[in-house]
Amino acid sequence: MQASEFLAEAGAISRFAGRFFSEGFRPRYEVQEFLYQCYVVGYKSLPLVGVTGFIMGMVLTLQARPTMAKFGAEAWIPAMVALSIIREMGPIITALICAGKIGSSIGAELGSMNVTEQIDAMEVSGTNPFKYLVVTRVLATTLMIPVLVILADVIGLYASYLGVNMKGVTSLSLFVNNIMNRLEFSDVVPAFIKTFFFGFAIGIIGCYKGYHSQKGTEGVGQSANSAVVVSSLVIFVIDLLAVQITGLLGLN
Amino acid sequence: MSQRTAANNVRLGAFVLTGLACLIMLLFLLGRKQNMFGDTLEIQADFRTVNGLLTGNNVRFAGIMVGTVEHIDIVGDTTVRVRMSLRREVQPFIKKNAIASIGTDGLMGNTVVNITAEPEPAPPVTDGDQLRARQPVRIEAMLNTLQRTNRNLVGITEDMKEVTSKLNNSSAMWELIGDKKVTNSLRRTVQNIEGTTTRLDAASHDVRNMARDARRGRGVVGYLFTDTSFAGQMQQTMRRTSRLSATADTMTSTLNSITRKVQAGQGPLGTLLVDTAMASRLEQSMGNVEQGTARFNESMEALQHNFLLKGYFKRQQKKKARAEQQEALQETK
Repeated sequence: MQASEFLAEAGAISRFAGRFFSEGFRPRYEVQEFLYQCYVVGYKSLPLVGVTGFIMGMVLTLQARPTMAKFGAEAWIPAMVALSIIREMGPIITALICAGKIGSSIGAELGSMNVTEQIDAMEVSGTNPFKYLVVTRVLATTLMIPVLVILADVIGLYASYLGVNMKGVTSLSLFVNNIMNRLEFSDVVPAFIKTFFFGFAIGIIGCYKGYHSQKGTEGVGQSANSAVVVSSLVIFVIDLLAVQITGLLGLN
Repeated sequence: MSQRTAANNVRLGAFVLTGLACLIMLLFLLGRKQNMFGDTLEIQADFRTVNGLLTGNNVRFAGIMVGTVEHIDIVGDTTVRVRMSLRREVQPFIKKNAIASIGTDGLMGNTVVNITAEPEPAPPVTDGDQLRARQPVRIEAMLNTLQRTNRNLVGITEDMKEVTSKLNNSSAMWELIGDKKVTNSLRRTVQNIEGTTTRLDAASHDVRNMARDARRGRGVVGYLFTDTSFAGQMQQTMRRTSRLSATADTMTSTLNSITRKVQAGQGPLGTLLVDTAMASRLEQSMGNVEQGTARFNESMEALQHNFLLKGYFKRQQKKKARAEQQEALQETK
């Protein structure tokens, strides 16, 4: 029963995603609502993501220092930290934070709307609830998560610069040159592309869980919770897939 | 819906633009590193092996990154052609005779192409030029050489050990080292050598002075070398000598003709020398003369014993004896 339930859930999410693609690109567009969702998802998450990125960069630098100093490779700290932030830590941590913050809020919002039958009322009043609620949110997460990831990378690298300067002296230009000497397009571009998929997964799973929540106040909490859990898991799966695909393309 | 104001949109716009600006900045920096923007210059070099060089690896000139590897093509079974694109601003500094070689960035780092300048002058490279290539140093070959060196070192150190042990055991060597006389004599020798060299130095100084004087026309040699009138006289002398030798030449030729005539038997002397009949007659005559004188001798003997002349001969003998006595007396005195 467990397996068939899991497959049924997966099928339902796939159909939900298919509906998003079939309805999302047809007029009429809910531009105002989309911009508002972008504001909520992107701008409102920035402080949280920024703090996370800052701490991530600094901690990575300080943690790497003793080991690198043992090898006499302190000059490699910027490059190493930059590679790990840009390739992996930035995208994955930002996506997880956003899954926690945005996925849960979407799941709870749509779940409570579903429970209070606002969605049905919307349908009656002539507004397409799928377009108005789901498409705007999924598009907003898909487009805003990459921006958040880039900002988190930049903040994390700046924190790494501060971390390097806590135990030694490095000028900003040397720091940037150290990083740029090691960085390739193959480090940046795949990491950037996979963040779109992270955002899409967060949005679509949060919306699905909220849109199809069980009736009752319990259902709201459950949908919010499972939205976070499933999207976090999916993010890791996508990360694994991304690493395999970039490896196949010879970009690793 | 008080939240959905224009201020929110401004914040959103700022947020998105900041993120995009950071991304574009990053991509631009990377692109500039890989020579995607800006004017480039393409050159190539042929290698036997490229040691794992990849497209996009750095090209360095004098240790500075000036471009990237664009293409690596296999041209033949022993040739790999590496095409590189360099930044246009380094074109005046890379000459046509520069040498491309493949190296690594540190011991374990990326493979890079190094362009090294040659001391000879040459015009700068142009698009599509082919640089000469120096084959990369292979670690394998290096290790092989090292192995041989190690083996040699083992032999050398063993010999050294033997030598040192022999030295340690030989008493003569240590005596020689410990002997103070040896050091004293060595010191004296060195002093002598020093003195000799000083004298040699002085001598060479003199020689130099002489040479300088000669060059300036002072002294006998200088006079010889520099005086023009002397040279004129010399020339005259030489001319005279040559005239003299010409005369001598004619004289010898005359003599020559005379001897030839004599040999041919012409003239009285020739007859004398050459005619055999004459010679035999001369011999006969000589024999006759001999007989004649012998007979004359007999006649004279007979005359001495003749009574008419006996007295004269006796007186002659006495006079002779007296003269001899006087001589003997003078000698004793």
